Amino acid sequence: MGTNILNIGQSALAAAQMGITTTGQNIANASTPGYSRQVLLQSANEPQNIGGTFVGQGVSISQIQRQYDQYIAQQVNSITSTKGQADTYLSQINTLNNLVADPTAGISPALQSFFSAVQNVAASPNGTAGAAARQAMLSSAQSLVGRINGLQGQVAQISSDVNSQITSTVTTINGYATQIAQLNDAISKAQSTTNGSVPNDLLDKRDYLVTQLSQLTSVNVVQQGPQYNIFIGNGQPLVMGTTSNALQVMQSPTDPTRVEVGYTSNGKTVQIPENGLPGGTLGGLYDFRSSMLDVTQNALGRVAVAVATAFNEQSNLGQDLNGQPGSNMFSISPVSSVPNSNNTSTAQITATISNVSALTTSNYSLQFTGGNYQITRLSDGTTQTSATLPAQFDGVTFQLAPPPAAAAPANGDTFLIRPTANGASTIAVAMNDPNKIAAAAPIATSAPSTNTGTGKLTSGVLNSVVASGSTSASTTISAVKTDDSFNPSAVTAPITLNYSGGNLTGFPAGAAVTVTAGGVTTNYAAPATVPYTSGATISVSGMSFVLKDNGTPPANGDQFTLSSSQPVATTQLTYTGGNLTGFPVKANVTVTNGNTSTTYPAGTAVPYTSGATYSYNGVSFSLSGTPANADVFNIGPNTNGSGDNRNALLLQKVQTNNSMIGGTTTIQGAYAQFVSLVGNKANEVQATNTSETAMLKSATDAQQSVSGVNLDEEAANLLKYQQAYQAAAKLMQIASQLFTTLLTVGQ
Amino acid sequence: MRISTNMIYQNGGSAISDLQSTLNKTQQQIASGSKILTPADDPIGSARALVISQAQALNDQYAVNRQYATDNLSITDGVLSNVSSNLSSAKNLIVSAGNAGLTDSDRAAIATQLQGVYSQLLSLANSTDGTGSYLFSGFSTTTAPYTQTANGAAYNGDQGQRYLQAATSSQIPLSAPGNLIFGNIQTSSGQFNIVPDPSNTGLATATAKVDPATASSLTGDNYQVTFDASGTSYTVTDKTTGTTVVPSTAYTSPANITFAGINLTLTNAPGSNDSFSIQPASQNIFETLTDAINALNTPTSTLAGRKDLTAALTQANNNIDKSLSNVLTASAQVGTSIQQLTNLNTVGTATDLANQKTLSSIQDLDYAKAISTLSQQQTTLQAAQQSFVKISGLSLFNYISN
Repeated sequence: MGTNILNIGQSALAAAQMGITTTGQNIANASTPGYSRQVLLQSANEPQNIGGTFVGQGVSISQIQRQYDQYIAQQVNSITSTKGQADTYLSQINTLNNLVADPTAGISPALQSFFSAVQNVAASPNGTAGAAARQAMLSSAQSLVGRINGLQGQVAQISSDVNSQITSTVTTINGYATQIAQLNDAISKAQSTTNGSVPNDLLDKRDYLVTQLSQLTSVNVVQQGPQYNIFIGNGQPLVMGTTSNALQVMQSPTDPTRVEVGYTSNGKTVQIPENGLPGGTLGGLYDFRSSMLDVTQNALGRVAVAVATAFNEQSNLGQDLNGQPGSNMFSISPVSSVPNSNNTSTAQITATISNVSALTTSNYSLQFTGGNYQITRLSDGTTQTSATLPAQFDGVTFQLAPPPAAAAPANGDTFLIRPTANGASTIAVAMNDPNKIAAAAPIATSAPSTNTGTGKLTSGVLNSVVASGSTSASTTISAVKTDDSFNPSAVTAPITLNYSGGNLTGFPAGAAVTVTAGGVTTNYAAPATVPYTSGATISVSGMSFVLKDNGTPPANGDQFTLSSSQPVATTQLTYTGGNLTGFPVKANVTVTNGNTSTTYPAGTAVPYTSGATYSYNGVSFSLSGTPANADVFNIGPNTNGSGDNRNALLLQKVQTNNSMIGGTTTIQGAYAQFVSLVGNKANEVQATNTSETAMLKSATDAQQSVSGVNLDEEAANLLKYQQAYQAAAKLMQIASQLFTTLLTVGQ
Repeated sequence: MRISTNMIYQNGGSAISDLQSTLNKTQQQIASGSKILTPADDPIGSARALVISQAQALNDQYAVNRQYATDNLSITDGVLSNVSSNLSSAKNLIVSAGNAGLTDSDRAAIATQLQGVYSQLLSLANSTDGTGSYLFSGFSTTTAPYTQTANGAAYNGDQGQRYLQAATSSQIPLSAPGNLIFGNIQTSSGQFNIVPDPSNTGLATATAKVDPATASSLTGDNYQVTFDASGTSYTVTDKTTGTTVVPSTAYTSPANITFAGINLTLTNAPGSNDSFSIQPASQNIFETLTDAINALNTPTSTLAGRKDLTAALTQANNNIDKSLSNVLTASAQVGTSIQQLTNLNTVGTATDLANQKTLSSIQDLDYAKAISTLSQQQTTLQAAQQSFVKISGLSLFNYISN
């Protein structure tokens, strides 16, 4: 009986000791991240039947139980992922936010001082003051370009930071995966050697690794026996039992400047699509890259493209100090078009910007599928399908690169087209001679003093670089409109279209022709033979015009020409009996009076209406008053007018024209909208971050409530177990005393 | 709910950290004086501020343009008033030369004075704007508008009118091309002014037109067609150069006479020794003055000579009146432009103020509000810090002694 008490005492001692040990472990690990407090569970031993009475046999330790709630843990992990994503997005977008924060460091001041310099050239186009003004304009153009390049450089830096962050995140994920696999192994080995009791600290460690992994990307944990199987994204296995599958960083097949995440399968690296890895740092980086970084690069590029295109086009309509047609002031790289590296054909897509006003800040994907070309705007997924190319979408013209550059596309081939992405990094000043600034207009008009009537002539303007002419008696060719993709070198040698047997031939080699008649658009591949339809709009190489007859189609052999409108031909018009004669041979004169326009075939007399505008060969002027018979009006090149600032006045209008976003705002306005977008997005992400932080706090609090160590509680436990130990020790002392008493009985 | 020790420290720490960052932001706003530190603070305001700053820059540039235009127009105004006073002197001289009691040498003296007026006017016509650009050449500002010729002066400029952008939608014309100010004197309603000699006896009346086929031979010189005593042959002399253009040629009425791009039509037969002088209908003031000077330098002893002189002086008088009218028109245009510029300056200043005000309301910090927010945040932070110290100091272990 005494020994029974001793046993009981000893078990009590052991239990109390274990209790203090456990409490000690809790106190020691109170600040260990991921630690779940451990609680000693003891149970009474099976009683023994001694003489008809069940007597207790003391206490035994059933388990040191980890206080851990699996469901709260899952919740914490999932919120950690979303918060991780919001955190990463916020810190990345703050870099953008700070980039555009200082209005004096952005594009705006450089734009404004450039256009001020243009106005100064308009005020002093020539002479000594003019030389200084022109040089200042070139210098401020350089500053503008430098500022745009610089901003883009910073964006490129952010982009390469994103790449390196993706790389390091993947390395960390792989590290965690390896560790989790090792822990899986250790845990299952440990559990198999005991009879079901679990290695708590290893479990804590593994759970902590899973939480840290959740911060990097969202994970799905499936418990299989004692092991965790970890799946990321849409079911991609990361850890299966004791093996971990490493993720790979690979170059993007659509864009060589960025990295993607993939996995190795059968020796090949397969990309995991970006939307297949949501959550965590990785999700935040992807989201930022595709929704803000791309937009930023494209928005800066769009400003660059708009300035360069509008300025160059207006320069080409002017005349420089040497009397030559104005040349391009800015150079900018063509649209970026990259075939997917998984394409099976060698086809290439050439994309050109044909309408700056319709440009967006999105990238585009073109896919050849089922015989059709499907173009997708990547920002919102809108698509446009055409059976043939060229096709136009959002101000960009897509066409197949002409042979021998590329073959026909194969089914499923995709291409990534980024219209404005390279604009800001490649814009450069192409002019270094201040005399080449085209401040003057290439046209001058005069009326000799021998005129007796009151006819007054405006000074004229050149409004197209292409002059159109027709030899047909019945069919006229309209004025030629050029879009933003037109290159004046296309008409350095005149283009002559021949009509024969209902068809038009003679289009430039390698150029596809688009005909729109009655709302239906048809493409003709090069070399094109185009059927003639009166009133149809014909587009080729960035030019578009309308051929219209008066009921009688053209005669075989009729020719239509497209040529350079500069130099302006010297034309002497004579007024006789209400008509004007003397227009150049082949010129079709369009008379616009108010809203009505009429085009007259070559060689016919053009009726005079006071106040009407006359256009031919790209030239346009207006005549008002009452001329007398035999009055003469001269239109010709501007040979001596170096003080002419008409084109400079038009160049300065590039700043104030509503040329962006469907004609709703100026270049500065489009940039301001972009800054506003960054601000809005930063605000939005800040708000998301705040709410995620609050949610994480509440989930963590719930978790800590179950698993966290409270030092006061442990202090109380210490006292409790200490007392129990003291009591147990006392018990053993008394049991020993009992035995001693028993021994002394026999003396 | 059970609280763990970590929660106390973590939550306390993060609350203090949040308070510190809002305090920091307020302090930065105060230091920079601006409500908007980054676009995230006010996306719409940031965008508006950018657009308004462009409007401000444009406004400033237009003010610079207006100054330039005002300078140019002021100089022009001065020149034009000088021109018109010179024209008045010329008129006085012409009128005084009509006095019947003057001798040839008196008239020659007047001619010399008139020559002086001519030189003045020529140099005024060739005025520059101070930077070396000619005011009255149209677009050809590096070419002097008028050069002296035998029959007066020729206009070398073009007919372009220069403009400057003075406001968003307002272009102001600068000085007009010279041909509108110094030229444009219409002496007849046709293309040529034909003055029959006052001593003519025949019934012929003459009209002249430009001959389109030979229009390139036009010289702008003054010609005289003189018939011989029988009225059956004529000679054409270039009065400006003094050369014979068409030597004696037979003439039968009613044929046309064509020479040097001019087609002369005569109705009725010319009389004995009839002559007609032909000059371009549109003249410039220099041609007018040269003609007047030549007329005054011609000795008049005969009745025919006197009649010629009177006709010449009458024509000169009429021409100078027309020229004065042209100059006044140009002056009025300049005056209107200057007035418009002054108005635009006023509007520009007002716009500038309005823009500044708007910009300030978007960007500027309300200091009173900010400073009171700052002290409130400071107090909150202090309270949080003190309470954290207090709570973290509470531990059961403090009371377990021995």
